[in-house]
Amino acid sequence: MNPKVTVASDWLAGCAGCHMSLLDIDERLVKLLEVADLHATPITDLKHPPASGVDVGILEGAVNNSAGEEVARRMRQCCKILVALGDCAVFGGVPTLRNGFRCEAALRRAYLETESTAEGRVPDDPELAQMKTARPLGDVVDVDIHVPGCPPSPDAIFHVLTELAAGRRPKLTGKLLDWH
Amino acid sequence: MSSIFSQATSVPATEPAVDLARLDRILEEFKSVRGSLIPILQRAQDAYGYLPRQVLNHIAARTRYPLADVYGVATFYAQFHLERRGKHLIRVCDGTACHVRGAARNVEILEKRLGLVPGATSADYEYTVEVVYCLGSCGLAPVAVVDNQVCGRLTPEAMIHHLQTLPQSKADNRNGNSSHGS
Amino acid sequence: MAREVTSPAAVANITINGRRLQAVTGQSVLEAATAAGIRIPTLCHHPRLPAHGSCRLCLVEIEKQRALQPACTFPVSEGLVIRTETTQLTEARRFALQMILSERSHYCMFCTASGSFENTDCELQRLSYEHGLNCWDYTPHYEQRWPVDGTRQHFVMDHGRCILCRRCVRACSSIAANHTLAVHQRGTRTMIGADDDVPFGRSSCISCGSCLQVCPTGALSERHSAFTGHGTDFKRHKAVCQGCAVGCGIEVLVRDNQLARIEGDWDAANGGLLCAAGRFEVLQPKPPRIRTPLLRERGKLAPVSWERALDCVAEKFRRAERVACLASPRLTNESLTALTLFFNETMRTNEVALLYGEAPPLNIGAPASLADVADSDCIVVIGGNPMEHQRVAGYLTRRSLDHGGKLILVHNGSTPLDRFADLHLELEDISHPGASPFERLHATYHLRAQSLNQLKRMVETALKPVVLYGSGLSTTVYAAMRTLPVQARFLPLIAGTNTRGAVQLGLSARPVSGEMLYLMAADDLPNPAPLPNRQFTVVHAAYQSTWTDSADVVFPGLMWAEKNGHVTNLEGKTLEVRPLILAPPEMRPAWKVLLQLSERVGRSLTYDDICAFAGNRQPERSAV
Repeated sequence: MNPKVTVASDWLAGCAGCHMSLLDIDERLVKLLEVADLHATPITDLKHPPASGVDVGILEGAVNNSAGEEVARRMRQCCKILVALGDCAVFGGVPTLRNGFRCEAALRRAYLETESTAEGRVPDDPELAQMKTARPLGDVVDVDIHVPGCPPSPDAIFHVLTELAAGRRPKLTGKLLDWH
Repeated sequence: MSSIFSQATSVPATEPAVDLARLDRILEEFKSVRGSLIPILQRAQDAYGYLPRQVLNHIAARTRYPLADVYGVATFYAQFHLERRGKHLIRVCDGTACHVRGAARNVEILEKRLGLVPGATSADYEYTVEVVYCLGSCGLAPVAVVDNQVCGRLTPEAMIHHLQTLPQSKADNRNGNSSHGS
Repeated sequence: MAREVTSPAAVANITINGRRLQAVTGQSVLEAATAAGIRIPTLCHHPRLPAHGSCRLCLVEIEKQRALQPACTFPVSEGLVIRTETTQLTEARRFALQMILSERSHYCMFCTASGSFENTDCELQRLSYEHGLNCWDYTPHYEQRWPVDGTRQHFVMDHGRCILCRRCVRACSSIAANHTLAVHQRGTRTMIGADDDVPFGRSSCISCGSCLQVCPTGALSERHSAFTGHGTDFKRHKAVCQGCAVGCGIEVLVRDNQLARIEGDWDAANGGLLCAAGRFEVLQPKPPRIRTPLLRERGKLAPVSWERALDCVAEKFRRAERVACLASPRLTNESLTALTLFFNETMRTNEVALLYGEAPPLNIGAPASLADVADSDCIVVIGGNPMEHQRVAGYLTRRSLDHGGKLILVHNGSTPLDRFADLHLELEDISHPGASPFERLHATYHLRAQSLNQLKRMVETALKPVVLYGSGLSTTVYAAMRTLPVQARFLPLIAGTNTRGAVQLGLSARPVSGEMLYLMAADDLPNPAPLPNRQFTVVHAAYQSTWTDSADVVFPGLMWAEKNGHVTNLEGKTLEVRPLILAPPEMRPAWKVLLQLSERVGRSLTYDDICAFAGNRQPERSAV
């Protein structure tokens, strides 16, 4: 029996919808688990990939702060094949809407100017991540597989993971390719 | 809400009223010439020093060229200016030869003395400073063209000298020289 | 074939992908390929617009050419050998797409046009799917913001989604002939702009929506139908606009029994061109719909059954000394026929007239079609303002001017066509000085003999003159028009959607008298002026208004998209009107109500009576 392909995933500036779409493969999850080991993900018990690394890393969400950059780089280091899952990871997605306003204006609006704020303060603790321009994953690390969609369909996600488990490079065409 | 009767205009409130008689004479000259929009714009710019919005509107009203096309041609070419420029045009060359021979210092002295960065026009509409690329006089580098006069081997001091010898509208009213329409 | 071949067709033998084909000299490679069923991807190309060649999606390999060539502009010639599908071409097309995507903000996830491969409304997205693009090779500049121009009332321009294909510019000039749009600036600063860079809503834009209809991406998007679906979510129906007497062909997009969007029918006489009224205003919110018959009891209008309302009205009809009927010119030929028959035969009165609407004499000379207007080399507009009241006819007039045609304007006051006139003549008001207010509305205008001769001389030199003429001109003027050269064609500027159909039945707008008034208002939206006071008023209308508010009985009526029948447009063409949506329950078509009234009054008409009278203009039993 072939060894299962090990998979780790994480989410950055995303809504978790892509991971929900992964779960929407429903009973096909059983088949998937026969060939893939979903190791550390935000929806499983383990949160950090093993030190020895995994075969496939999956990241959902855009990179919009320094913490995201760190997570992206760490994931890139510990996986052989990196998958950008969803429009935010592939194109930047919804988080890029605030790019036109620049970080200072966005922080001001969020922490000082909102109507419900009485005494606002922009958080500046050095432990906090620094806000950056929201970018696609590919702008920060090398991405091997792009899976667009908002979210990508469960069919597309199932296809990508089973193809990778079989040692093939997945091709997204027809109904599986949807930027929408 | 648009109306089929509306005529477009974006004439800024600060634009002084323009004597359109001169433009009418130019338009009359080109009346039956096909493809004459660029020559009309060139002659109009010579006459008025730049292309005020009123001039563009008038060209569209009196010819078959739609206003959008007149504006399109005027904004496409670098030679057309839609904003009023200074009486004296100082073009500093920053091509390769002039650059290595100190064009930057000449640009700097202009900023110091006139308070103008490249592209800007002084508030009293006396001077406009522009940086251009390669006037083809590399043997005389660094070069600037001041009111169509080529000034070669220009030092910052020489630049100041040239500025001082320009006809001043305030200091020298006898001449009343205009550098337009030459 | 989009381009007309004016010289005798010369054949060019070409080879595409190894297939030998016969093309016509003057065709582009794209046209020849399309005619042979060979598909080449395109983006800036549109079959109804002049070719442009800016998107570089249609690149093909042509033997002996140094570089790849755009098929949409490359002309065919004898012996040309072309390949449209090679690895190099696929890479070139992918590259062109990636370049376009990298330039501005093409974020599909929040765009109304975005969808799946089968269902997207965005041609850029569909091509990207086709070419397997699953990411961007070149990251766009995130901080750059592209303006969104929302100053037009009905549709929005998002410059971030614009690919500078210039379809909108070409549509504005060659379809609408309005020339509001052009390309401004250059390089990375290139922008589509209106006039001298004013907001679109404050420009010379006439909101005809031609640009909107041809835009391949979500750059131009309509407010009313935004985010309500795309592609096959809508059912498309060809129909006739009932906004005015022109009767443009339209395509109506319907979803869940709602009218979502109106587009111009490319195959109809108007060639896809519409006006703001027919494309947008028709979908704007209307007053509340009348859904049941209403009867005024103890001073208040209350819903009652059809039977009760019909009984009441029939009773009034039986007792009334003099009854009168005013009908909207928006009614179909069938309804107007039933109406005249009912009042002439059942009610034995001739006090039947149009509520409004005018038609000039229709027997002046050879009729002009809309196509004749666009093709004309000399147009006379006399006694009318088509840019306001028969707009598409006015836009087609401007199109003829773009092709070198002349324009003679004969009117007083100012109209949008004034500045294009080669000859401008003034009319004289010869109405009777003691005329009544009603007569004043229908003033009579005369053109002096000297001016008439001037006009005649200019028309005589034209090869294809067309005269657009209105009502209210003196006898001399109409007589003079009849003596114009035989090549002149005439298009009456008729006011009111089906006024021509009404006039053919002998109806006109004139005062009628009777203490009982039956007002067939169709789906008119009246001005707030109340009706003249009568003893008893019945109003048959689709929407609530001051008329229904002051009526004694109200019958609910159909609106234009629910009707079945025919209307006659200003060209004299009888156009079929079919229902696009289901009417609310309990609706009855106008002719049926009149039949039922006639039974109750005691002098019945039958469905066959109406058919016999109407000739082949038969109301359909299946209506509603």
